[in-house]
This record gives sequence, structure tokens and C-alpha cells, in this order.
Amino acid sequence: MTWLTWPFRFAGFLLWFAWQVVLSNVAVIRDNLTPGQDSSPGIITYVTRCRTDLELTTLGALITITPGTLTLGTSPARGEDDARRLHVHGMYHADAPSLRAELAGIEDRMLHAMRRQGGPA
Amino acid sequence: MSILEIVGQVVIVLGGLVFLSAALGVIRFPDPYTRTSAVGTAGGIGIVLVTVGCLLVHPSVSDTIKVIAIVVLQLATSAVGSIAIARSAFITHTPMYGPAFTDLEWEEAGEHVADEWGAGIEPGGDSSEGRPD
Repeated sequence: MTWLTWPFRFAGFLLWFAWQVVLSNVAVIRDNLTPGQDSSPGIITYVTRCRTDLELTTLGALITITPGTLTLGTSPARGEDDARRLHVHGMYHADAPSLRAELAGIEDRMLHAMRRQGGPA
Repeated sequence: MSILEIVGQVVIVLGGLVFLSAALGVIRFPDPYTRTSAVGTAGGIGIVLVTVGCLLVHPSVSDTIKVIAIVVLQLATSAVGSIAIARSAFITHTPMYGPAFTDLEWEEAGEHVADEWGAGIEPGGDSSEGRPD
């Protein structure tokens, strides 16, 4: 049954993501055109819940398409959990947890939209 | 001049202004990471505004399909280009300007020497294993 909802989940995700791209573009352009630099840059290592290379690549691309967050690369798994990690640069997040929370939001919606059976679980 | 044409012209000029702001950002932003982010606005929403604006000025079914193809391909490829630029800065340990937070050992330690491949390498570890892929 979840196959039937997949196109709608996917379309809904595209709409949500398009809006996110507009919002983040406005943030970067505003910072660019106003005097001074009001960014608080930082780099985090984000442990993803992606299972395949396609999911990881898509997540990295989505993070980069929204300006203000930038994928810097992946890291080989270090522990037994074999999690796929992304190094991400953020410009407008006060601290690492808030950047992590935004990435988790994108990842949740992306996995929910991409997986035929739905859900990031 | 129809309403659609006027809206199209406005959207094209908006796209051009996004390009201008991106060019300004390359000069004004302080380090490679923020500069890549500034260019990303042109490669992303800039191209989309210009092509959609052209479609509004001369709307047709075949052009709509072309614009959808342009937007999808442009977003996918410009993301890969941005990642390639940012990654080259990252693996040579280019320092951030005024970092507010970081997860990286080399950034905290102030080691900004391009003598190792990639971050996430344990000190004393085999560098061939730590190479990011």
C-alpha cells in the first residue's frame, strides 16, 4: 500500500524543499548585501541514517543546494555501527546542535520521500 | 505587453541581481566555505529565476519541459561542483574564518597544514585508511 502513497510523498517533499531553498537563499543574499558578516560558521560531522550510496549522495546534494549549509565530504565508518557520516559546513546556526537538528529535519523528510516503504526508521 | 510578460521580465532581472549578489559574495565573504555558499545562490536560484522568467515571457509546452530539465540538471550538477570546491578546501585543512563551533580535531588544534589527507584521521593512524571518499 505504501507504494501508492510514494509519488505523493515525493511531490510533497519537492514542494517543501523548494520553499526551504528560497528561505535559505534569502538568508545568504541578505547577509551578503548588508554591511558586515553576521554569520557564525562551523563544521560538524553528521552521522546519517542513510543506508545506500544513493541516499547519502542525495542528502549531500540537498544540503549543498540550500545555501548556508555545505557538504564538505564523507568519512569512512569508524565504529561497528557502520554509519555513513557527512562533514557539513553551516553559516547561520548558533551552535552545533541547531545545525544538527536542521540536517536531521532534511534527512527525515528525504528518507520518508525516497523510500518506497516510507519512514526513516 | 501582457501581465505574464511583465512578471517574466521582473523575474529575469531578479535572477540577474542574484548573480550580482553572488559575485559580490565571492569578494566580500572571508573564507572558501562561505564563498562557495555565496556562489551556490547563483548556481541554484539564479539560473532557476532566469530560465523561468524566459518561460513566462514566451510560454509554450515544449519550453516548459525544457525548463524543468534545465532546473533539475542544473541543481544536481551545481551541487556536485560546489561539493568538489568545498571538499578541496576541506582536505587541505583550510581554516574557517571566525569559527563558532567545530567537530574537527585539526580545526580545534589550530593545525592548518596541508600535510595529511582528509579530516577524521586518528593521530598516528594509517593515512591510507583515513582518506575520505
